[in-house]
Amino acid sequence: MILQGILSIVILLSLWRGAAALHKRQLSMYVSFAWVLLWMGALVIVLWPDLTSQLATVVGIGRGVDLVVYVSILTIFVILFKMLVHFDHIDERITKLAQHMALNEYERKEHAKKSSDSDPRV
Amino acid sequence: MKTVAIIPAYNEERTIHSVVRSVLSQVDEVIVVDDGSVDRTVYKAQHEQVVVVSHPVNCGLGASIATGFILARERNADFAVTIDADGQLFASDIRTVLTPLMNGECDVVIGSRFLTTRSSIPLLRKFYNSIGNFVTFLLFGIHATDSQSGIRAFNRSGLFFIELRCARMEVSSEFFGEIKAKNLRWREVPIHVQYTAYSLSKGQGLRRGIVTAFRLIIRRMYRL
Repeated sequence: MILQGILSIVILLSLWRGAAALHKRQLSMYVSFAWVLLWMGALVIVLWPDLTSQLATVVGIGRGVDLVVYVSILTIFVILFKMLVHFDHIDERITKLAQHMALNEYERKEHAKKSSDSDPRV
Repeated sequence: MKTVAIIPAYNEERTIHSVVRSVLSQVDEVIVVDDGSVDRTVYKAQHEQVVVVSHPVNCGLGASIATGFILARERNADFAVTIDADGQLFASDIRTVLTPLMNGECDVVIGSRFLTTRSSIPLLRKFYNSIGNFVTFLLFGIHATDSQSGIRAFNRSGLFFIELRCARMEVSSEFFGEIKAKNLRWREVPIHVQYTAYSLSKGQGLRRGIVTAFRLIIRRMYRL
């Protein structure tokens, strides 16, 4: 009962953090929705733990807690993979920007060099 | 016929000066791509016939070679050679990789450390390379003896058709993907190599090798 109370408070705090981030536009609607869905699901499991056993029986897994562990691991893997792909895209954009800046700087220097070479006052 | 060498360099102040000097004797022009070094690499690379271009942040080997390619095209290179800056390779092998291109035999030449009869390559390096070769074959269907080579040469077709997207070490295998996709003629030629404690510390270790292979597989699977 005590654990249920503590977990419920943690989950409600997480939900509040998600709502605050959405309000400040730090998270997109899509991510916020996924965040809320995740923590709502966790809250349901904490408040009605027997529900997982019933679900586990339906999908053919022995215990409810096993189902929760399997689904959690799978979800973490999917999220990790999505993040990896996202970071890769960011990396690619930073690289393009760095290349662009490097070539611009090179052209600027070349231009300055040519100008000083052709300027008779120099 | 203008020949340009592209030297990607990241924190290579110890070797860049001698590498640039030796490479200059083999080509018309040298492009040093400083990949956001925090040491004196840029200062040490300066020379009359050297073009130095600097990334503001460290982007990786692939990005440096890609920047070098753009510049080589802009500077009307007929042939381009990429060579590592760690002093592990011999500048004299630039002629070896350029000869088949100049004879019109192929579009891309890869220098292979494993085609020479007397090889001083450490066993661990051979092992890493065989994994790299296997992954390259698995992903692109090309069998190379040295897929992670540090010296490659390109004629104008190679220079203009190859589009590099991998920013980091994966670029070594990506070259083979591009060779196949663009239907370029390629070959391997034997080159020489000298291993020093410095060059060994710069090379691709097991952890980085695994990350490289993983990134390549993900990219290939999801066409990133």
